[in-house]
Amino acid sequence: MERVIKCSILTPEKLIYEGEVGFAVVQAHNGEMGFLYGHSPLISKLGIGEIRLNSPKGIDYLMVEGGVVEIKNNNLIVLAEKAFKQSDFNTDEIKEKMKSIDNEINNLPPFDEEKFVLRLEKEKLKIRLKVALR
Amino acid sequence: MANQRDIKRRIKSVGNTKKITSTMEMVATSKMKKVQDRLNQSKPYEIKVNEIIKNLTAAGFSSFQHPLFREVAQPNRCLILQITGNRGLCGSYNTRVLDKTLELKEQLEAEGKEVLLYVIGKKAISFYNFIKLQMFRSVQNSEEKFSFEEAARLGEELSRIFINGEIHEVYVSYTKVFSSANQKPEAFKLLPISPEMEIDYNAVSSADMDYIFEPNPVEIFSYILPLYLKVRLYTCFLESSYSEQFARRVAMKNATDAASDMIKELTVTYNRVRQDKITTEISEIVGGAAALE
Repeated sequence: MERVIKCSILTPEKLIYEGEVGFAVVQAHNGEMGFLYGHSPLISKLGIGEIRLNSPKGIDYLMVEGGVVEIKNNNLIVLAEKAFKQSDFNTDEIKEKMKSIDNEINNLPPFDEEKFVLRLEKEKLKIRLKVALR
Repeated sequence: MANQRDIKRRIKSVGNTKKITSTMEMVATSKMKKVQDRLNQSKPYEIKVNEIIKNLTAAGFSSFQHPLFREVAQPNRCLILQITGNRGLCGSYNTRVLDKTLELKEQLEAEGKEVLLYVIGKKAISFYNFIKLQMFRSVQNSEEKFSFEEAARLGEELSRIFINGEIHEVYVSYTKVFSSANQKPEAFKLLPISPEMEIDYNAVSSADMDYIFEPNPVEIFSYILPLYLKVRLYTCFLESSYSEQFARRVAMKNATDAASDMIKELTVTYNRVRQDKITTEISEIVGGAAALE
């Protein structure tokens, strides 16, 4: 039998990914976490970051913004609030957005609450860019 | 009997109405398909979230006190969230939900609770305005533009007023989809989340319980509960909108059929009137010719 794990990535809106992978890496709440065949049952919180799925066909890159991951009996399920595929991203668009956010941050007075929100937004965009450029 | 021209005019106008209703039927059908797709896409997510909550509680966290579980000893302020459509022409869809809500409201008031209404949908808002009933909040249904983010916002709003004690119980009154052809208005208690109701302990065998939790069960639990709430609301909205489109489709199909019948009947009457007229004319001519001889 092949030593693969069944992987599905879901958002409330739709099923983003489904397939068999040999090795999966997800962004857990405080660092990356890898899964191989025969992993013991686990539930973990996810952070904002990329997901790498190694399969014989190649590596798939995705991005999640928070959620939960569960693995049981070699079934990996990612429940994300928001998830994107690499193909959903447009490098130029992201770069432009980053610039506009940078501008906004610079225009705000120091220690403004809004800055934290924008920084988080920028973090997200950075990861998007990283995934897009893979 | 009405004259020929009047009947002809009526046939034409019924024909126009028929065109409109059959178009509306087609529109409703296509919208219904779309909503159905979204509903099918979101079902696995809901099932999975439920499963994780089950696993967590089976691992011995049913005693864990999350604010969303907290029951007030004497609940006397309730909120009913009512989901209806913006538009009419969909049979009894809106009225049935309204009936259900008012029934629940009376029942709760009989228990001595104060009931507030959170109304979604233009039709229901105008109804409550008409009977001069004060609403706690009212918003329009965003219909197709409805997204998970909106459900998330609503979920957060509800849990906020629940946690800060403004409201002791939250109910949702909506139209539940039992099968693709069977929808009924339903009301259920959303908050406080009652763990007994949601969890079927038999479904989880004890052998599956040794999960590793990262970072710890409590944190995952407090993350997934609000998520559960949002997902629940999201599916409620989708089910309601599916039911609305279904009801509209049925109503419009009936209207189209009725229009066809009416046209048929009117055509018969028209022909009869026409025949009558011709007969009268002939007999007049024959009569006139006979008088000349």
